[in-house]
Amino acid sequence: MRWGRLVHHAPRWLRRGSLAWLPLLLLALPGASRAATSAEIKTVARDMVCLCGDCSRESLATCLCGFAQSERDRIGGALDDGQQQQQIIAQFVQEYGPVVLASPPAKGSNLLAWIAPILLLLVGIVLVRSVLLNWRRAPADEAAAEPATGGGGTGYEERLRRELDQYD
Amino acid sequence: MIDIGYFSLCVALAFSGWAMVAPLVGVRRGNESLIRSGERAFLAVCALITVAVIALWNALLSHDFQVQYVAETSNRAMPLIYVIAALWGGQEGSLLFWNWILTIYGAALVLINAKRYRRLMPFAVPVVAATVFFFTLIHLFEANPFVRLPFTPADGRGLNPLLQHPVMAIHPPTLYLGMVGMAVPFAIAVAALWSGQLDQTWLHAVRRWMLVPWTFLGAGLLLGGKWAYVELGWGGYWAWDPVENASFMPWLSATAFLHSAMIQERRGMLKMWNLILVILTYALCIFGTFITRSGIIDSVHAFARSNIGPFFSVFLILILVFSISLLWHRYRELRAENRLESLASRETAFLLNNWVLLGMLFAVFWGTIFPLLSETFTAEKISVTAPFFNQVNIPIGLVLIFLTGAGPLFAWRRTSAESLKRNFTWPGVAALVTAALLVAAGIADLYAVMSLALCAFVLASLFTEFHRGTQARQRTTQVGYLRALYALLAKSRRRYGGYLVHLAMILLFVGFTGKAFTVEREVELGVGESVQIDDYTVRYEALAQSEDANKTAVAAALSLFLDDRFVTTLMPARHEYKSFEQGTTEVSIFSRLREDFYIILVGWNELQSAKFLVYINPLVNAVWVGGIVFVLGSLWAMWPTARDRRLAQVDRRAMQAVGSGATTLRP
Repeated sequence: MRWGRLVHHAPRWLRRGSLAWLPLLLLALPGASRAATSAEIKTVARDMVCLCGDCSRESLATCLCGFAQSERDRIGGALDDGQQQQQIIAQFVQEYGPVVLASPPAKGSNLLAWIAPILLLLVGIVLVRSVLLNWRRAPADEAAAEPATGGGGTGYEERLRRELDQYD
Repeated sequence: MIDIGYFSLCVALAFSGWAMVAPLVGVRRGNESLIRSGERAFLAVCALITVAVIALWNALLSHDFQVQYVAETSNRAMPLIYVIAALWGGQEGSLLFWNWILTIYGAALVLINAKRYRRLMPFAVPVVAATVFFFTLIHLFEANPFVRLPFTPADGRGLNPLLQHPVMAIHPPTLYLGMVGMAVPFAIAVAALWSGQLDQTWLHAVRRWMLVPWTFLGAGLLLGGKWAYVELGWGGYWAWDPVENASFMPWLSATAFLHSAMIQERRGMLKMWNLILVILTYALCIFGTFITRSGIIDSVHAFARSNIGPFFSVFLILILVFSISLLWHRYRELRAENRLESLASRETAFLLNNWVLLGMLFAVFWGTIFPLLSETFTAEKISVTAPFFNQVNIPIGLVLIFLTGAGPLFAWRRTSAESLKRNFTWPGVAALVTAALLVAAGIADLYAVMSLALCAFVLASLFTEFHRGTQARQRTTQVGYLRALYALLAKSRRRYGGYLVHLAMILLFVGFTGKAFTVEREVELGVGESVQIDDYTVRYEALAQSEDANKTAVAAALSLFLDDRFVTTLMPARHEYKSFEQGTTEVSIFSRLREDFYIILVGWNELQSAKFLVYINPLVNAVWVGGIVFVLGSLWAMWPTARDRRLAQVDRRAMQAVGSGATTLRP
């Protein structure tokens, strides 16, 4: 009961806020062809980001702002018209440029985005291998098996540490 | 009070300048008292910055809106806790807070270690002091928190509503304690290079000082995740946002260091590499600050954006040039002392661990800066967001889980074929059985199956590790199992604390894997209507609106039924804050061990209906539990042992003797 009364007094901005998703309601009116489900829309939206300018490139699938909402409605409309995922995305790219894609397309200079991490991992494993082989080849030096004390002046700290180690 | 704050910043600048110079001159001239004076100056800096912080806090709490910072980040309607948190809610205040933490860390270094690491300190203190000097310069000339407005506004603007959340009150301090704390290991590493004291001493000092900020950083990251989960309303906790990445990267390199430090400790290898990791960690912290503050890359953390970016880029370059030239200078003294006896050894496992961690670090770094590179060189704007990072990092993460389990199964120096077979049998079986069960249960996601199977592998290897140790202890001491287990854990804190952290990582990975099974539904309900989603039925009861001095709120009430039994009332809401155009989404969550039922109020149509977004997030609570285990494990590992206490005692006695006599410190 209390709820209902409060709603009656809802301010104007509240009513305005509700309009954002009205287009979607219209789509559900009889006469429209089978409406795309939100899951289908999000499958397409997931590959893109929200470019409203305030949302710092959140996923278009999860962004809650009004802009993202209307973009998703557009995707829904395109799906209803029988367009494929690739077509819709291509259309968005044409409109906004590649910045709308959630990850850089794997072609041209953007290929570098994908290749560099793999390349570095390969270089890394080669380095690890050469370090290991290097260590293998190093002459066995029994004297060095004891942790070496660098410059002569560390006597106190090192001696202390060794003595205490023997305690344990 | 404000003037006192500003004045103490001015004095702090002078004192930190002295703390930078005096110890270095002292060591050159062999003048112990000059060194001491530098150290004392640093303690004074800490006190002075504390005064400045108190002054700002006082201004906030007394609503002194003539102070610009106070007017911008607080107002009268804000609850007390957020007025306190406003200290780090804006640019100038958070920088002051940052500097304060830095001086506290530095003072702790002076007070705790001035005696034990006598020969490193004259070099370490100036490095920390230089950083403080830099920050104080920024306070005074670029981001002064004590600027006054020409008039006194009746009320302030208030803290950004997104930040008005209990977790937000602790997330930034925790993260700062992590990022800032990396300055101390860096200072010690530089001191070792500078002074040529390249024995084990610096490593012991750095390890301890690294463990503390590393724990804070990890905890801070997870708290940030928790905040995003309950406040941003997209059903997740990690978005690979540039600023998240910026604080994740130093955590990765610090983790790499904590592992490779053990190789140096045991085997005298990787000295150069360890120094590089410490320096890299600190450089990444500064880089992260630079990214956050300069706004050079789009991020959800844009509220901290400003024009101090150039300061940080210059500072970063100075740090890198200075440390690299030191490394170059000492290159010959950093040779490995030992020979690798077998490829099947813990040493190899740790090297691979470093390889994977740094590989991941680079992937994150590359993805974070790539948009910038692309725009600079090809003038093409592109986005690199979560899908990229997930695709690149999931395979790397899987290798990392495997190594988490496999590493401890190798012994130092060499592991015989039989013992390898013995060690790998049970974990291997556990992994295969898990994989088979998951596939039989109809789970088709290859990554999810692999991840959970590998988690089972690590769990089994951890379990055998604890079990064998306990049994061995039982044989020697003849006590009950639990007592033997406790004695085992207490005897080698570092080892078992480390394994607890591994356990935490596995919990985290289990939680991350849960993301693959998220159910997402968008529903529109009229009042009194209900909908079934999985085992849940949710019924929309009413919409309510309320208003207080700070905000207006619209909340929907829904009844949630689990297997047709009523469990709770959910209240997802939208808050609109008066002094900001921005609203916040107040998520409502029904949480149980298995999964979260997570609901967002998306829109409403007055009396008729409302639209909701529902996520069912399986296993997400493993992430938060993992976070707690992570903190407990690291605390266990760093808690002072009896040996540490004896060492501290010996220190005190030795220094009383040394302090009275004149010691020459000339190298």
